Amino acid sequence: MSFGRGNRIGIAIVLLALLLLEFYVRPRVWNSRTSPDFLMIGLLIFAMGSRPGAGAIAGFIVGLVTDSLTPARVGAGMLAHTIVGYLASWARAVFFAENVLVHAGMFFGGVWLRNLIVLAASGTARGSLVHEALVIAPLQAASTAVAGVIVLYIVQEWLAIRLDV
Amino acid sequence: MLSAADRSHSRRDTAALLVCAALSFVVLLTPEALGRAIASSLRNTVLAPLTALQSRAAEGRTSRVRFAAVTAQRDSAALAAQAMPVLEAENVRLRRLLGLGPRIALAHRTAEVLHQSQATDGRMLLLDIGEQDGAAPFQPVLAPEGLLGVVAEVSTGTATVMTWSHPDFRVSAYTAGGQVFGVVAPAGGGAAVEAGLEFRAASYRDTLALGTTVLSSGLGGVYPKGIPIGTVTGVAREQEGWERVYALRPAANPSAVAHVMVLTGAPAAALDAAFPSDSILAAVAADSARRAAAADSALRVRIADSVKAALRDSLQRAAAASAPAGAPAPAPSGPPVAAP
Repeated sequence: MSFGRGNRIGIAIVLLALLLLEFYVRPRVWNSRTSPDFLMIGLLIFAMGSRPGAGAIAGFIVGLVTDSLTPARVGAGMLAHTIVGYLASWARAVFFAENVLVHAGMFFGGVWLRNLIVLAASGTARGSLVHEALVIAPLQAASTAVAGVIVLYIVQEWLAIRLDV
Repeated sequence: MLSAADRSHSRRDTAALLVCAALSFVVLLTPEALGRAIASSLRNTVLAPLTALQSRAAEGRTSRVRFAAVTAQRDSAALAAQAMPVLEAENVRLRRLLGLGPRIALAHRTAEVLHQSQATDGRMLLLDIGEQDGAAPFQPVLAPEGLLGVVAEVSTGTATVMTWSHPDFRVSAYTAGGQVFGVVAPAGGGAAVEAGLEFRAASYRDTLALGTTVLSSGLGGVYPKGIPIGTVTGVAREQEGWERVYALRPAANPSAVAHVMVLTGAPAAALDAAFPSDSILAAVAADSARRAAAADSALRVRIADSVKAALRDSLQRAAAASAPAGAPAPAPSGPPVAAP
């Protein structure tokens, strides 16, 4: 999957829709720590279709947004999203599998890794870190993976993604 | 083998990663106040449409999904409020008897919590009220269940709240009944295995029963007295012979709260009325003056009596000396001579 000139408009519309889902639909429907992270889905979809450098820059921007809205430790989100954006793009180039489970695994791993880096970089106490890393983060990663696969199914025609089961 | 174009791309990718990571580290290592200022300016400019959108969504959710729960809470509050006039009258009478000042009148504003999907969401919350609504730093933030945190920073349309789970959070507290005073802080020091609160600086000789409610003490001037903070669930750790630290189950959960109350009243002005130390001092001083005046007048009376007695004796002695032998001494008559 890579974004040519034709589907750049498609990815822009998808990212805009994911922004609306994150900031308008999610607070109305399922406003919980374990609800899907649509910004992360957008970042990973963009990163999987871009070069690692572009993925890192997109991750940095998404991190800037999340850090501004949750300023527990500004910079932790930027670092986490930068690393995840780069790794997602790099991993996509290495695995090269148009498989639903691989995509779901990337969503799951991306969210979990992001949460671990954010918690570690923001100086979370050991008790909270264990609880967040082993309970909350996997649940959020799982819900994001499910939502991400659904989003990919919906937009696969626009973004020319082939999903094998 | 990589082509020259691929190698160039690869170098650019690595450079982009390093630059972004370096920038992140720089922001991470800057002072926290500067980082929050950057975040605040971004929220007020580029991210303002997103926060406005989320604020509308949160309001919509509160009015739609939570309608039944809010109605039930309102009904319970209305039922409890029916006994309020009698209790208030009784309270006023008792406070007057004890010489206490009036209770603090706390102004507040309600706000929606704009939850984010970030892992640190429960530590710092974003509210949909700002400077224009009267929010200011160091204002206490309450959930219906108890104390949630304090306003850390305010911008035009949003405010960030430092909840009790933030490592820097502290509140002076006491147990219901007033036996033990201490400081409540987030758990996490040393061997804490569960996210929660700790009641610190309690004297080693004081023992708290499980389930004891811990309230804010009002000391420090930020949090008013009597806000529930949590309940004692056990002893977290001990420093032998010196201090006992108790584990608390927090009253309010930052991750689950949907709307909050921000106490917008000026704390210093309000708390002065709640601690009538000046009026007590004035009353004590007036009482001392009264006692001193009374003691002074009693002394004067005693002196006058002594003078009168002395004059009476001297007159009697003079009359006895001038009278012929065998004649009885004349009885003193007329008003006593005033002492000079």
